[in-house]
Amino acid sequence: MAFDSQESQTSSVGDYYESEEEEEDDYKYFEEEDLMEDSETFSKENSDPEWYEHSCMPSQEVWSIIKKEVCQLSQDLQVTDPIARLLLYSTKWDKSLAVSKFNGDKNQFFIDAHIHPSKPKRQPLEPCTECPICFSSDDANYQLYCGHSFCCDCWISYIISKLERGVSLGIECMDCDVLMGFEVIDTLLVKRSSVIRRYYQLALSQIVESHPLLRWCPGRDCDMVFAVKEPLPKRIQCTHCNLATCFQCGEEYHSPTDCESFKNWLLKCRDDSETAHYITSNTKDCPKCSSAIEKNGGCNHIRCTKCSFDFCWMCLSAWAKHNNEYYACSRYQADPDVMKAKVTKAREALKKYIFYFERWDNHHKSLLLEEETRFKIQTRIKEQVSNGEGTWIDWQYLLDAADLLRKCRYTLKYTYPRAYWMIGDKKHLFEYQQAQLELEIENLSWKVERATITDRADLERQMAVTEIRRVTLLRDFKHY
Amino acid sequence: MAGLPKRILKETQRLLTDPVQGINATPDEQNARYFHVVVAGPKDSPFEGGTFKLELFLPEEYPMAPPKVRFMTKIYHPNIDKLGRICLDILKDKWSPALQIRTVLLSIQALLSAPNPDDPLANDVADAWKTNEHLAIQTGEESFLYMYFIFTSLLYFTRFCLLFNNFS
Repeated sequence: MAFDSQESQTSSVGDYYESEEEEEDDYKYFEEEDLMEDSETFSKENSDPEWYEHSCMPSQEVWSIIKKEVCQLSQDLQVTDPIARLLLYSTKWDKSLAVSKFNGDKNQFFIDAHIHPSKPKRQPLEPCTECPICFSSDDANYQLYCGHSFCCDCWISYIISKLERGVSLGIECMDCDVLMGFEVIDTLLVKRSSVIRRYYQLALSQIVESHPLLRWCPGRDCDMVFAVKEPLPKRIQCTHCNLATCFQCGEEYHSPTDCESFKNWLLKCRDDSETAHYITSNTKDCPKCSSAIEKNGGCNHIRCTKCSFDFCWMCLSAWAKHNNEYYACSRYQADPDVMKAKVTKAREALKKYIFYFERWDNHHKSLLLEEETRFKIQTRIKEQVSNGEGTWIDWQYLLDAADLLRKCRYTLKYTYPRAYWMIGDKKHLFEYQQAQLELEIENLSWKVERATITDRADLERQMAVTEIRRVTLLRDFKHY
Repeated sequence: MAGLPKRILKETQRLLTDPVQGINATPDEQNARYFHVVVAGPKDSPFEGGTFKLELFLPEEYPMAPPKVRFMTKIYHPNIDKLGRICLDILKDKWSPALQIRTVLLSIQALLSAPNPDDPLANDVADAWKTNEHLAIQTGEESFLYMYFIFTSLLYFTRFCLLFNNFS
């Protein structure tokens, strides 16, 4: 701005007016753009419940964010940047908390944040005196704000030993708990560039892990960081490795299931999906103690090894009943045994789990197959184009359909963990919508596989319907 | 091994010329980083009257890493296990290079007079300590006798261990 005004002073009057007009135009333009952006945000959020404002950046860019936050706080509180940074570190980068604590009991806040409020001295490097750590007086001493003074060599080897243990931002004074800020580290390690690099590397990862609005991309060997404006369990997608994850828990993106249910679901699947499969298909429960029994041969007279109860494998009632009438259970009996109720409960729970797991697993496999479908579609398009049936552009809608199919299947897959943990009336509505979505997805899948160039309108209608179903389900059953 | 750092030399010197009351630390003849330590049981504690042998070793990284200390004498204490390993924060994550052999040994002596059953290494002892103290508070009048019984039995146990150690 300063440069601009200088220029306008030296230029002619006419020019001056022109430039002012231009500036005004710019202003209007910005205003409109702002408005547009706002309305865009609004409409996007309304039309797509999965829309989430986030940015994905290389990790080094995090420093500029941190710098900005620190500058803001230091200006607001009238403190130096290093102190502002330490205050933010102690409140886990919560600026409003830092301000309120600062305005409250300031001294207590400084103590809690392990900060010595005195200003750093001009020349922290002192002439050689005996260092209380190594008892030598060869090296210049460095005094921290707390007044503790040790030789530079001791400070450096102390910092290195801390870095080896993975501590960076939390390095304290050697004799008390006052934290060492970046400026201290910079002064001490000025000649040790490799150590300083290691320090900032560790500090960065510690910052990202403790900052509520930042998250590392969990992709393998991926060095990207996500930044959001509000922490929500919504989808973030890495621009580098393309992985879609949930911001809140860092697991794969799992809408409409909430983070906790999804975690429980994964735990359950990891624990006993295969075992449970085997148990349901190969065993029956003892009617007395409900332990699972596998019949691997012999007659139908079973004795439970746990509770020594004798029963019939066919009708699951006490063997004593069969005493006179061998195979009485071949006759159908209408009244169910009272004992069975308890047994069936456990089995029912297992059956329920298997039911949801099978569907979850099935959609997972279909999802993997969709990749193949997309590839097949590509070869089909090539064939069709070379046969003279339309141009390449004409067939692009098929690829869009395949992408949509994959997206919908993904959502469908993650509806099952949600349904598993759901109870009550809401479940009926959820299952209804889930069924509708599933139906449309299968229709779409069918149409994608058999589409010809004349079917385009029909397919696009189907795409629209499927997407509406998906969006409605996500909107009606928000998980946050 | 490279020459002994000045820090270790000075500390050793000071330990020998200006020893702490109730603590005796002498460096090994073969290895100057290895110390034979004898700590007297602190006054007004169940360990009063006992003497406890410890070993102390200064690793290569000392003073950036804490010294390794272990009880050689068997001791019935919630924060010390059967092998003599000690559960003390300054020997682990709370270590600071500003601490010295002298301060570490003083802390160990303090640990003897004030056991910390909430952060135990020997769980059985800690449980006994906790439940017995609890009982002691509950039973009022009886408690004195009860505590007396526990303490004397502890003392006899440690003495027995000492004797056993001396013989072996």
